[in-house]
Amino acid sequence: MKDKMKDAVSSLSVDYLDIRLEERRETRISYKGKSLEEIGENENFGGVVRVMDNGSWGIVSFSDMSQMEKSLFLAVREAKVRKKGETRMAKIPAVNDIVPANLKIDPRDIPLEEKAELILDYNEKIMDHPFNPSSSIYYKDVAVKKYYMNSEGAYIEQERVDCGMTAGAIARKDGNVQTAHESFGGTYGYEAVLNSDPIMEELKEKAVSLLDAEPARGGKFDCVLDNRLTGTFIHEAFGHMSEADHMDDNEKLQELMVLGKTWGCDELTVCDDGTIPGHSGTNKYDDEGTPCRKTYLITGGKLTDRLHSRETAGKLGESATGNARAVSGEFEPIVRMTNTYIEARDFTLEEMIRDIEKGYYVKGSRGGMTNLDMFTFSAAEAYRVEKGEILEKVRDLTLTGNVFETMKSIDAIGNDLKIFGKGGRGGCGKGGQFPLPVGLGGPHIRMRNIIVGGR
Amino acid sequence: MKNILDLALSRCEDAELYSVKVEKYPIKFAGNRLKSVKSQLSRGITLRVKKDGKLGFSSSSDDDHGEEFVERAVRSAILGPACNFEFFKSPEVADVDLFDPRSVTVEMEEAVEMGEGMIRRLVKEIPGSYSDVHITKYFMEVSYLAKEVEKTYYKTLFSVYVSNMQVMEDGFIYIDQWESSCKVPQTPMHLVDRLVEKIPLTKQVYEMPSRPMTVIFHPKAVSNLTECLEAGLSGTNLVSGSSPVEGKVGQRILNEKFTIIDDPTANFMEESETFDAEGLPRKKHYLYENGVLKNYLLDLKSAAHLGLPPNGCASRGKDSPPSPRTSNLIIEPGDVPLSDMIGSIKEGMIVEEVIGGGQSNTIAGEFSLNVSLGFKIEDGKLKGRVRNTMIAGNTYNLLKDNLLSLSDMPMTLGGLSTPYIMFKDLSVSGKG
Repeated sequence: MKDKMKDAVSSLSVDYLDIRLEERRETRISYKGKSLEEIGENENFGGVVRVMDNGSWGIVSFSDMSQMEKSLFLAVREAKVRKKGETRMAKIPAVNDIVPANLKIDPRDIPLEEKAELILDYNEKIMDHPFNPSSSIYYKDVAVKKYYMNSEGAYIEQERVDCGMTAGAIARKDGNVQTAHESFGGTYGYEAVLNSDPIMEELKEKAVSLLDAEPARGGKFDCVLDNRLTGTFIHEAFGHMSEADHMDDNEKLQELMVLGKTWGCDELTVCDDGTIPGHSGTNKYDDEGTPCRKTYLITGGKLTDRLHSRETAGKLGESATGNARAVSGEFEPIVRMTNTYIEARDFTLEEMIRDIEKGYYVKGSRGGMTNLDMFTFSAAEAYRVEKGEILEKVRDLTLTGNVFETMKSIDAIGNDLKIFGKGGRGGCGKGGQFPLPVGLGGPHIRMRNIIVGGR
Repeated sequence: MKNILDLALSRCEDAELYSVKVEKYPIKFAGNRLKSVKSQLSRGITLRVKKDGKLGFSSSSDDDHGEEFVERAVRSAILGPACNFEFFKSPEVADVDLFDPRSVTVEMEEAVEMGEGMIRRLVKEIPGSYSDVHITKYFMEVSYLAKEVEKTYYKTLFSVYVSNMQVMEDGFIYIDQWESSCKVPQTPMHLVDRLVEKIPLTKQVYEMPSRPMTVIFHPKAVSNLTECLEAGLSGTNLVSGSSPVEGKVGQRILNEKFTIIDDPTANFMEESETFDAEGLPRKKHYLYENGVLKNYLLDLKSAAHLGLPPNGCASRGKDSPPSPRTSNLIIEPGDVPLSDMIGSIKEGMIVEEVIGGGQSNTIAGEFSLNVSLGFKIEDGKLKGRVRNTMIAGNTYNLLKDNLLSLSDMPMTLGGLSTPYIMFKDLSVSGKG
């Protein structure tokens, strides 16, 4: 592989060129209720060549090694469509490295039969309940070997194995259908899916208990978010905003996102850390060969840094942060988060709830979305809070807001940091690249006056 | 391809192959400038086998390693589910136009010029704002192979997306427009026209109160409702017992004004095709006709489970097994002009774009959405854009009890053709 890449890199005289090849082997097992939907192993290949000439990119992806030469030719032609571009890449050292996966139990060593038994067992656990809930389970392990070479002399082989699952329970009573889902996993090994019986038990209980819950009432409320939902919030509301590819061509946005600007209370510190061992967003190098690192996005309430690829860093005169990631071999890297979280402070949950006159305690995440300034994220379950007391469960609660206002509405940060990985069908989506493994989390936090969608 | 099928047939009772080859050429302008010109050449082959009565599956991105590919499918079958159906073996296909030769001849430079023209106009019409344009042409070759059957269709797609962002002190205003079909448009400039005409309305900002009111869904927001209907009609969800409309064919579920059709045979429409992902000829189906549930969306497996005849609604990705899905959805228009709809509202809103779809309990029909682009209506007049506003409800209840009217002029957005739809008493939450 290395020799073929070397020949290709040296065959063209352009300002910059890189090639990334990925071999991918995926094992998937999925159930919907009693029906086994899929079991087996799948293999595919993907490659991307990127050429830069005169400040313009040419980018071609392919799924077959025999297309590499044609792809190089196409990329050069694309770069010439625009006579002269302004793209400049931030400098990084040219690394030569071979990085094996770091696993305790390698899912590739577990026979398919054994995985099948485990997943069947989980599936039956979910359905084993007097209410006969239905289930959905999606197990996935993905072993990826990436080969990266660029014309500046870098060569990196990186191996990565993700393992995790999405599990769900679906409870029905007459026409009323309620669901509960959880996605979990990481890059530390097959342990990620072992000993998960308590999660299955919890899921069916949650789904069944929602059958009798009333829909949340909409309006403006104070809310306490649990660790998972804090993670979804910070990822959606602020994380995407700090991806520099949204602002590198937009001077007005650059003004709004000027470093040093106050974004929240003095206690608020937000990090993106691609180096936490075993987490979903962790890699040694990103897909441009930049070492991953910990980036402080907000420190003490003030904007201190942002997430970059070499291109966005070059454009804004900042340093590359190791956040250029591609979801698979057939995509080029774009600016993405790794593991994003709010740092812990000193509030306890009780202290946060105590001062709420009217509001909600919202837990777990059904996902979130942003268009940069506005975001929404949905809670898996929620409890009404009145006069400092947690009351009955409600369902279908979604929170929304404008990022600038909502970040400032955080007035209490808990002491219980947790970071979660994603597995199965879970992950982050951007620019048609989904699902990218990311980690997210934080402590419990409290927000004042946030908009709750409901009836 | 043929040799892989033969190899699989020599080891199994039956086998079928589905192959998708896609060439995609996206051109992107960002922040008023040409950002990238790209090519994506991709291939996905999926193999299903029936061995000892069980179903096996595997996928690959090339056909170079046939033996290993077949071996993986066989191993999958050992642990796989009992195969309760036969692979489809008739050469029959639907007669649908999917190919525009012009799409093949549009060169990168011509598409770049098209985009530059759009950007120039937007820079002139909305000074100080930032526009993105994505122009993408696709060429697809899709084949289905089974014992003594081989069929292929070729399809082109051409999509144009334009968005504009105005950065204000308190946030951004986004407006986007897009279209996508098998045909290259004469000119995409009408998308710019549609975008620009919204601008005056964005100047005035309103905070909405939290109470039920009359709301018009713009065609761009309607997919949030059809997505819930699709989840209920999916054969897979029916088999697993999670659909709220299980066993209700022939019953009136929705308002009698509401008719929705799944039509993969509409010429040149985005989701059209001549056969489905299991080789069955594509057919047009009424899903709800005048509110009455008519058809589910079935693949071979779910049809067999439910004891219903299969209806050719399978779809599959490059590396996943088939599952039932909608193709093009056509919601039949009503007879009320949009201006009359707006004129009839004392206090309400028109919701054009939302974020947060698919995050709620979709299977039950629930939605809770942030209105990212919506306009307040007061005393029959459009006033200005809304901010910090959410809408929430249940699709089934809304389409049954709250539907007031459908507009007379439908709009086609890729694989969805729909009129504006007006509902009474929809829950709105806001800061006003």
